[in-house]
Amino acid sequence: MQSAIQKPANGRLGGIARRAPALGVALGWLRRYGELALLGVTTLAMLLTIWAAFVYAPTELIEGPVQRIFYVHVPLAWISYLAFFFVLLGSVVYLWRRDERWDTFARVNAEIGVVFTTLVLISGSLWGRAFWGAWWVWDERLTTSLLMWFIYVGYLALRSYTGRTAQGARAAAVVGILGFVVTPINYMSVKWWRTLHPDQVLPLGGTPQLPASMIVALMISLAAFTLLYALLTIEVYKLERAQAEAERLRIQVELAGQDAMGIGGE
Amino acid sequence: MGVNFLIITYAIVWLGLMAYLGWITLRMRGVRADVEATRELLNERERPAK
Repeated sequence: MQSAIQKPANGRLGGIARRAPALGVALGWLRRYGELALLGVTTLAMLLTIWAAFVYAPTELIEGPVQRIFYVHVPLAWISYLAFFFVLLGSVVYLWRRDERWDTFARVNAEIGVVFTTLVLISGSLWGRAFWGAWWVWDERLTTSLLMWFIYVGYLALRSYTGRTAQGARAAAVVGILGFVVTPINYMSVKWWRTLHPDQVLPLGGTPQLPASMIVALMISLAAFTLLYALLTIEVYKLERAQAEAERLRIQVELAGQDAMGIGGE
Repeated sequence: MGVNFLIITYAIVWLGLMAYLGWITLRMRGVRADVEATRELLNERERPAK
């Protein structure tokens, strides 16, 4: 059984632990219990979101109770933007440094982004049916959201088709960079065009368009979903690394089998 | 009417996220079992050579 301070004994963390033992203990604790702590905090934050959306936030006068969909719809959209930005970042750094970990990071974020965008489209569609009386309208915001979803589903399909090859990673990185173009267009679409979709409630650099209690509820929800995103990123990243390890081992088994049968030897 | 849509939306979002988390857990379990089995197979194959 290793102590918390012995855990980060190698590499950069080992160096930090030797120079600053207290920081080393903290890092060791984080490595060991950080994920569990994150799971606990995320669960609490998600429960707090439910309370904020259904109890704390007031009922909107025009839309009525259906406006409360906003407290999940906006955070879901925020996470999809964040995830797609990290696909861009991972792709750029991968092409620059050719480090497989950045490619994995981009892939993980594409998967999470697609899941969250799917939920954005579903929650938006349900709100639209209740408020507009239509499941879908070919509005600029909705259309670019759908386009964004198709781009990253295409990205994942490409990754699945090419497998874990350097060529596949390079092609996906290019798609990850070019595909991001739609994301800021999607965000700005409500400003650039006359859309049916409601305007930005938290405009960049502007004043919020909501009462304080609604802003507080939204902030709680945004924080909770960001924590959930962090947890999902860690879990899916670990899964991707484990899959890569399994693939590497399978190749080793094949090579060992060929050696045993004398195939491919001198 | 609005309340129905509100409840359906929250149910879909929460169930969707739970299902995604469950799917990640199942995939992780499968991969871990795969890694263990492959590692054992590799050890077996390498043993006669030693």
